[in-house]
Amino acid sequence: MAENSIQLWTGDQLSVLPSTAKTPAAIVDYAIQLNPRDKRQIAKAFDDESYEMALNYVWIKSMAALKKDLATVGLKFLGEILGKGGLDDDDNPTTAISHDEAIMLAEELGVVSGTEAMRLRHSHELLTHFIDADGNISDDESLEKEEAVQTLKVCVRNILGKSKNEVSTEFATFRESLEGRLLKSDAPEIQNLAISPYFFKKITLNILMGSISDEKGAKLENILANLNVILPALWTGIKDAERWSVGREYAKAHDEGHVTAAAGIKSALMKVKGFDYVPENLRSNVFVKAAEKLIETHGEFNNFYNEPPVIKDLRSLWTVIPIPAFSVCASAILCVYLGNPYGVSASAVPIAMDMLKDFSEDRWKYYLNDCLPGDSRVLSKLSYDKPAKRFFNIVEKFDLSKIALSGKVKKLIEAAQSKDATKMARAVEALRVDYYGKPK
Amino acid sequence: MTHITKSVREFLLGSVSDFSDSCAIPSLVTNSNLTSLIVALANYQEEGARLIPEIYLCEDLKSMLRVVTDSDSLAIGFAGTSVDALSSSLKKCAPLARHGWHIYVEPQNSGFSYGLFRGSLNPISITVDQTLFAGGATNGTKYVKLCQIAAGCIEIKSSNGSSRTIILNDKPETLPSPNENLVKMIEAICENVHEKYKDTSKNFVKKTLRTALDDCHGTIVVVVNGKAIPKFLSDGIALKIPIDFPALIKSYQADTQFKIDNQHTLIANSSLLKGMVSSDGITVFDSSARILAYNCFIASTGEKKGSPPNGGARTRAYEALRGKIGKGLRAVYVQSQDGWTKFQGAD
Repeated sequence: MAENSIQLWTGDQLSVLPSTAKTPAAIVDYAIQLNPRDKRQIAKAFDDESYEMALNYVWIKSMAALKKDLATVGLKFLGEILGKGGLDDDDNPTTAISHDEAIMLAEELGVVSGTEAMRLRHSHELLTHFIDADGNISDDESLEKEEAVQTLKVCVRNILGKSKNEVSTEFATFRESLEGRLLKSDAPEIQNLAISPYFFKKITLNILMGSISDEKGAKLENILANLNVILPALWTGIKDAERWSVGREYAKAHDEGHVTAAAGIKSALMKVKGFDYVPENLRSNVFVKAAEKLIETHGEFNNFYNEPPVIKDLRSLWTVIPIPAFSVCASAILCVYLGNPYGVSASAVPIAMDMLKDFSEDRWKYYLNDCLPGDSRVLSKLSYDKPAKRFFNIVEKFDLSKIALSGKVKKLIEAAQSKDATKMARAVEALRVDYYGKPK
Repeated sequence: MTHITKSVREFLLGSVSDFSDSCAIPSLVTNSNLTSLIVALANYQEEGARLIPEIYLCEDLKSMLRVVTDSDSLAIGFAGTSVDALSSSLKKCAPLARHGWHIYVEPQNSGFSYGLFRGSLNPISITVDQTLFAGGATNGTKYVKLCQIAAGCIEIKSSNGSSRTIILNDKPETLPSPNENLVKMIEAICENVHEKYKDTSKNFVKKTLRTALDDCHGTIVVVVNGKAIPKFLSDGIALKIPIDFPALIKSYQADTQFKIDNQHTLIANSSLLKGMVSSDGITVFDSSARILAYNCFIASTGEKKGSPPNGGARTRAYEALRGKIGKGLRAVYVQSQDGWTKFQGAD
């Protein structure tokens, strides 16, 4: 089987919105998550041409429903996928996950298809153009009716028209098998995993590492036994960022006295001769925690106001970022610099820029070649217009096009250097296909 | 009349020859070197003070420490022969080999270097011994550890999974190793700790008790049934608020930002445990790893019955406590002055 022939998990793709539903009133009638009063008011707002007001409400409802449904797999687990270590199952999903994170997760966990995820991102960007983060509607420009109807359709078709946005059963089964069954090296799951797109390898390691911290007893023993089969199967195909994450988990288990977990990870690391990826000391953990906190803050409400003190905390650790923590720190700093579709934190950006200036050419090369292809958060940002333009600045300022880069990353950087948004979108999509596999 | 001279050394050489061969570090771990070290460590003293260093003979220190996170080392000296390196390492390093530091000797540049190394000093981290020997896997490098586990009793362990306990006094070979009884006691102390904190609590209590027991002149520790101190142990210091180690560990682990306060609390309370274990009398735990009391005394069985029992006060107290298993106690552990131990649990 060829690499990338395995595709992302897919959920229930049955259409909930017939093509005959064309008017706003007809479309919103299929939004079974809205009550009749809401539906009437949205239809009336469309009739009054108050598209921004109607869509703002629809979008908030859609995102709240999507986040609530995603949270059924556990917010802590979602935090591990997102690299936000501070998330806990008791947190409020509406505030703990940002809109673009929710769309990214929906795609990754098979709640929506890749194409529909792209449409949701476009809808999000469109709305942020007309409505600011505080819900204030622009006085100067307004949405066209066609744009508004299209956005309404996307929200109803993918979220509000479904009674529940279920995470793919394939994904749930896969996750259960990692924790509940003992897999053998010749099991089809393992064979398929070895030739899967990168996302599957990364999420498999995420699931295993997250479960090692949380589980005890027989379940933990299953997980550790599976790690000892899976890590050797994946090791040659995974990048340094993921290898360091396994090494850091070993160091954490060791440091926190989790005897069983540490012994299991040690055994797996020995099979792959992976002890070069165990941090020599715990300094990198401090960097990882500070970077995760910054990513968390970046994804929360009021992020523009809250980012400056948190990025200052990361900078206060500043000497040279230890290599085990570099991928997560670079991702966090880039998140602050690139901002989100609404804009950037004006006070945090200069600090982020100062920190980016400290990256040596080797570190940029490492990030772009080894980390960016698996950094779904930054790749997702590059799909939005404002963050993409800020990425152009970075490429130009740091002469990133002069660094020796590999194939698809090189194309991305060249497109950014020439400030060609269309080319860059194609390059981002090519990297996303590598990462997620070809869309069905 | 015939006169025959017998040397323990001859016996030892025979006892460890297969072990030293299997270690596969021929320049350092020889039959003769192991024998010399065993004899030296059996009752090691410097300036009249008893020392219990752990000594690691390794093929390559750096490779050995690769699996030990947050480790550090301090080179002390170099010798041309392994014999000189071993004797110098003990002389120069044994007084420093405490509070988490251990001695190493490794072949280097047609000679042997020696010094000290340590693992993580985090109070809840896994010990160097556990990291290097648990599970039998060795990261492709070879090493051997020697340490005294009781007076006249040396344990030697190899990275290849084999181990020996060498007894240099008249204790029978059938006696359980002092460490085995400690492990059973830790199990009893942590039996009812919440599953989430059990692994860490066992590790922490083991580390703390191990250090305390090395420094004390013998002690008795009991685990009670339930949460209250039995009446027969009321002659002692009952803590108004028990020292709850799992709760302290929970606070320490939950604080993901700056662990200093919680770390200090944990270290401070482990120091208290060390002091209690060194005090006269009995230290009382419940099975949730909480210290309830210390400096407790029990009337010995013999005294009650009017017949003088054998042994010292500690032995008599142990016998009395054994009789209380299932009647207020679930386990009792005693360590005598020479480091030998006894354990009696509910099973």
